[in-house]
Amino acid sequence: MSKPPVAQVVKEKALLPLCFALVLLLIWQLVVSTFRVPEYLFPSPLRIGRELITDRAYLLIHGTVTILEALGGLVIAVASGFLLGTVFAMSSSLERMVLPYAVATQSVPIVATAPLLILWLGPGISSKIVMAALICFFPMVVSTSRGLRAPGREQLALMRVFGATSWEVFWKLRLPTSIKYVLVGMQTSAALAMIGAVVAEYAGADRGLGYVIMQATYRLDTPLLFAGIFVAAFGGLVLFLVIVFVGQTALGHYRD
Amino acid sequence: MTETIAVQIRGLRHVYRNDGAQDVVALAGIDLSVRAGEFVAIVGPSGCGKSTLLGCMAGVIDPSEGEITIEGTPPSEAIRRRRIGLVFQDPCLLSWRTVRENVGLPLELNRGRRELGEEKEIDDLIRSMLLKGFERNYPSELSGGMRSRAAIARALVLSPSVLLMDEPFGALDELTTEMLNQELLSILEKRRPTVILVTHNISQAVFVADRVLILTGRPGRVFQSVEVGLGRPRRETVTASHEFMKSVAAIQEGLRQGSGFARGREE
Repeated sequence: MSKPPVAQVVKEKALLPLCFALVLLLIWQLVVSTFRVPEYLFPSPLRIGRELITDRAYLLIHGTVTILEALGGLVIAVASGFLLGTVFAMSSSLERMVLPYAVATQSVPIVATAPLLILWLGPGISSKIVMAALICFFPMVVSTSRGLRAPGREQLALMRVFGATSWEVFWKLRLPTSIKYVLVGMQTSAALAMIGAVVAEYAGADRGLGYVIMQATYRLDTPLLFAGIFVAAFGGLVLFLVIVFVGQTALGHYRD
Repeated sequence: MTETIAVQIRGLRHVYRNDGAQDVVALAGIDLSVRAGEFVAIVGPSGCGKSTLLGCMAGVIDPSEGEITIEGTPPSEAIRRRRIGLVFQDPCLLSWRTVRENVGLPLELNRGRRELGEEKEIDDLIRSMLLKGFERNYPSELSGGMRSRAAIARALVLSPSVLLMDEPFGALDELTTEMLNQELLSILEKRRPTVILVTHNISQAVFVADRVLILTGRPGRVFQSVEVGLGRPRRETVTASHEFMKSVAAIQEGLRQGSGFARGREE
């Protein structure tokens, strides 16, 4: 089957969300203009757009830092989450022993964890990467474990009758089956990683979008604050779309 | 001359243990002998333990009591010697492997290879199962009937002496099932393995089998064994014969009595 051209994909997948965003922005602009809402409370989309253009270099530098931190955390979370997820899938008793604590760590607010990480790892990039990794870790563990356990009773019975060893069952059945689950975990984690990085920057940093938002808040520069939020959201979306794209192009029939 | 027994079952009983709920007795005292090269169909009401019986024979369910031998050895040993082929209603094809890679999976595992080569037996089976031209297609690109054919080809690739099938065409429409029955017979007549087929389709059972076993309702026991007096090779036309109709009627009657027998035991 031939792949559809890019223009067609954009038309089918991106047109509707873009139209929706345009309508929302239009309503926002109308509400702010009609009710003359002060800029420091709620700037209009046009004002935020102007901010995005005038401060583009500043936002690009800090946005890149945050995206790199999120990406670093995501890579660490995927690798470590996959390892623990595999261990969980192989040993139910170990999962029962450890899982409650993993859930408990997820319930701790990240705003409480972030200052500790700054304290332990310093205000540099490493504390932000670890924060992003921590927030993505649990979804990756769960999705990996669920994916490795996804093969049904009949598939496992067939592998046994074919004479497959435990390693072959893992390598030729469980692992390929888990790929689409891991991919979903990565998509969920992409947005979370951005949150982790920004919150860690909030707790103490001299660069990144968290730092930009914090500085804008102190100065009551609401348009810049919104611009920072927009760039963070855009970064999360880009990470998400990259994972979706890689999944669709590289994984082929593993997703079926 | 003594007949070779391919599958021997003595006093087979299986209970599904349910923590906190009532245990379910699936099979109660099954005794069965299947001759080498014989085609046996097993029919019975839903939940009578047909699939459990097949699972025990395939060595994927450990029975609570009783003994099963496949060519004189326990199922686990028969698996080790690659003597068993297994097909489920769900073809269970791996979505990321092509038809050829799916059919060749048991060979790949058996020979400890990372990838398949130019194995002739795979291509022969693909041709026999009318899948020629679809070797490089993925399961998502095939029809339901083609997937079932690929699953049967995969079960036969190691040339097992005992082929176990659990409603292999159960999810397909009647026309496709009739066509596949004919194709199945054609390929099995050349290979002559012992075949045990679980089905709820009486016409299919009579068309393909030498003998049809009727199980009672749960817990399953062998209620009756009906010999099908149709010669081989069989073609579609036998379904209009008197012998075919007579066997179908006998099995329908047996199923009615078997269900009544189970109800009588409960009362």
